Amino acid sequence: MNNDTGKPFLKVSNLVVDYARGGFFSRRKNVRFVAVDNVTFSVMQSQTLAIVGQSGSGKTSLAMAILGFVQPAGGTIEFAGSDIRNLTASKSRPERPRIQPIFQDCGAALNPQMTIGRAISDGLPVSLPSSRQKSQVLELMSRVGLPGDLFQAYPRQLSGGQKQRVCLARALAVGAECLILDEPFSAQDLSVQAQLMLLLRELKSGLDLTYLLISHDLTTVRLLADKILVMRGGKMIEFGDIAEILSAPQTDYTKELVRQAGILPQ
Amino acid sequence: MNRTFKSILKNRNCRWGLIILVPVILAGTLGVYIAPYDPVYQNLDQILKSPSLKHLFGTDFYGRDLFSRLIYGSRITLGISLSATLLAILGGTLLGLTAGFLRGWTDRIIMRFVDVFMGFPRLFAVLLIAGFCKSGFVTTVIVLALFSWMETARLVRSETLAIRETLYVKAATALGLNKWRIARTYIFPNLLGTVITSATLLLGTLIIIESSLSFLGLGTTEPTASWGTILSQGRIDPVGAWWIATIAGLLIVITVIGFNLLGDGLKQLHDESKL
Amino acid sequence: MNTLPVLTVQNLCVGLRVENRFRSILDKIGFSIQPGSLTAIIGESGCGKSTLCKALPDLLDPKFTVSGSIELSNTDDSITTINLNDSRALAGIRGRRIGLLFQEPGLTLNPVLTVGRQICDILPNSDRAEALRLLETVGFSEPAQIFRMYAHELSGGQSQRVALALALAGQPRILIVDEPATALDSIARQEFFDLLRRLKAESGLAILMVTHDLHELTERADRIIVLYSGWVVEQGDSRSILEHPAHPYSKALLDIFSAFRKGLWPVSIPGEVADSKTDAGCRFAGRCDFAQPICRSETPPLLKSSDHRAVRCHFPLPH
Repeated sequence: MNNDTGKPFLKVSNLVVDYARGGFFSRRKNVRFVAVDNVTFSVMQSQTLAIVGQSGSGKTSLAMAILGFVQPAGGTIEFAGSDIRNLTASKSRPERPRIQPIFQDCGAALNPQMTIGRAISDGLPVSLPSSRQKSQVLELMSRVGLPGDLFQAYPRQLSGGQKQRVCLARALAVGAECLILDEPFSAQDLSVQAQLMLLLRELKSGLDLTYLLISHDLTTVRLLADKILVMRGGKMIEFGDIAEILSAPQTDYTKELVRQAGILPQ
Repeated sequence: MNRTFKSILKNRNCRWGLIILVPVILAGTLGVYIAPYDPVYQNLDQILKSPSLKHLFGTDFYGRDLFSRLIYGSRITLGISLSATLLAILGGTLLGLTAGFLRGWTDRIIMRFVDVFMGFPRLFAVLLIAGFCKSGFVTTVIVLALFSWMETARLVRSETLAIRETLYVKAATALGLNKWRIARTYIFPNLLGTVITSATLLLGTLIIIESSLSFLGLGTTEPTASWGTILSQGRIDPVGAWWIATIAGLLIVITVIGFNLLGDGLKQLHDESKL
Repeated sequence: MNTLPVLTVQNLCVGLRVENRFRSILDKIGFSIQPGSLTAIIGESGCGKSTLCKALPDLLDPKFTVSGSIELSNTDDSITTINLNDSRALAGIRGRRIGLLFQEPGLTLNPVLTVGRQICDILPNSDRAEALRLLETVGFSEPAQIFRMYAHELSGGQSQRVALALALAGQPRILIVDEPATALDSIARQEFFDLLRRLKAESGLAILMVTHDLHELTERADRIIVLYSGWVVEQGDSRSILEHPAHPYSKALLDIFSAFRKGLWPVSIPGEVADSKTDAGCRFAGRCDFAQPICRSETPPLLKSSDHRAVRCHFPLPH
């Protein structure tokens, strides 16, 4: 399945992300910790890329750099043709809504003082009259499988799975085309994982979304993903089509990951 | 909203605080209707009478009913303290939020102002300025507020810094919302808990300071008498006419305790809900 | 079975008074743990598994009402029965007869003390040699180095192993473990479970493990207890349950799991775990594919079968 013709939707080239290391006294030594070391990959529109690695592999730093929360030390990030290395600058603001994060802790990602109806509608254009805002929010809520009577509920009243859906609805409200999901499955139990996977599949096909799925668990992401990027210690280990890599991993590390996931041959 | 009120009533500190404060505040607001006598009416037949059924709290040197005077006085004392608190909280919150949100040079400059103002011992600074300006309601309010905004500013600034780092503010930034909207709808509502709690405690402090000022004759002057003024009139005969100083003093102390209890209770609730 | 179970739980009920209602969190839980066995408790978030872990050593907030009893077997084959309301007796066994390991390793460790200091604080004579031995048992190849370190210097996997060492310091016969590996990534998770299995084999330690991740189960558990909304809906030998689940909920969960492993799309269980406000009827009825009218009106009985399996269902799935 190789529909890689045309321009890539998201293209990362030779990305380097580093952090100043150490506390007060080591500042003089100017030691920097390299979290992402020369990573290159590209994703086409409507594709799903699984970014797989253990803790410390740099996958979260990579996501933060793409989202603009961290300035890369080197390399480029292109989204739909434009350079988005500096998303925090005001001139990039129109691009910002197109790539949305879904954080691992969705509860912490919601303002505790806002009802979820309000939280979702925050993404809608200000010019929209409030009656239409409400109906759009309700439509989004039903799209992600949230009952409408939760409109006035506060985040603390919701379950973990429901909070995830609120974050999804919020991202859709703002018109996201690409979602970066950071470990969406890891803290969830099986039935919630199943529901989330089905929801993500439905949203992807219905809205042509592109996903970057960050995970340390191969079993859940492999159903959704088209491509996979394996990271370790900040470096790219393997990148390519997921079916090819899982059936014939090139490196020992990937082989070990596949073995551990207990993936049975299809 | 309902749930907030219920949990406030359940908290023991808040309950006692309100038990003390509600009558005091009611007396202050409805006072004009329930005061048995005109507070400035001098009844020279009734000079320095001890508390009786006719004069609940006794009379003062001019034969004025103490109970009525205290009721009217509460309007002054509470009025000044409340206004000064509101002003201080408003100013402090605004400056603290600005400093914590914008950071950089704005933060540094504002914090230097905080340091400078905090350098003055409050009571003496207030005395000094009050000594130069003509005394009165408005002057006292302004002067009190001028030396009380700093604690709130610091508190709000550190809360703002903490809130800025939360995931929900990051998510809001990712949505593309502009800075001011984030400050208004994401940061400010989460500050309210801290602000309200510190406001309640500040009120108690300012009541004492206002009373001290008036005691020294630098607050409001006759005939508008605050509790502090009344307290100072008890100096005439502290043993013989004990009721003047004692009752006025007790009133001040109990009211401040009330506000402190309420503030402590609110702080408890706020801390609990964060967990 | 002629060996005495290390721990038997009888009739454990936990409730919570919320506003005016009384919510039942756990209802008549009963099971027993054999020495040297690994028993896994599985269930969705909200089913009460964490509450169960905290109820046994009396670590629940006082606002919960707990009833029921536990029986512990002693070395001389006698049995000690403790009522779950008896705080003092439970405090006596906590950490000593029953070891505990909770979900977030970072929160278990004291940030201002070194690892070694924390372990020594628990040991009777602050025995440094014993502390080092414990660190070695949990898989550290350089115990002296870890001894000197602080919690924030350790990785997630290392912290969890230190927490395990602390739990083992009291030489318990049974270890209660609550989702120990959710905070860990897959390699660390694997190593941790290998470690638990080794400990079990070497010292005969019984382990009661709460988890929602079915992966470890398939290879390692001896018995499985399935919890749903505060009920034990199924329990028994793990191999037997994995091959032929009798309760529709167990079957649905296992179907999802095997779908993931085979790379197939799972069939999700509709709905969410609801508030157990239904007084009568089966708590799973609203989401069950096989529900009949009687399931909504009558509480299903606990059916026991000959091979030590139990199911709470009106219509258990045929073998």
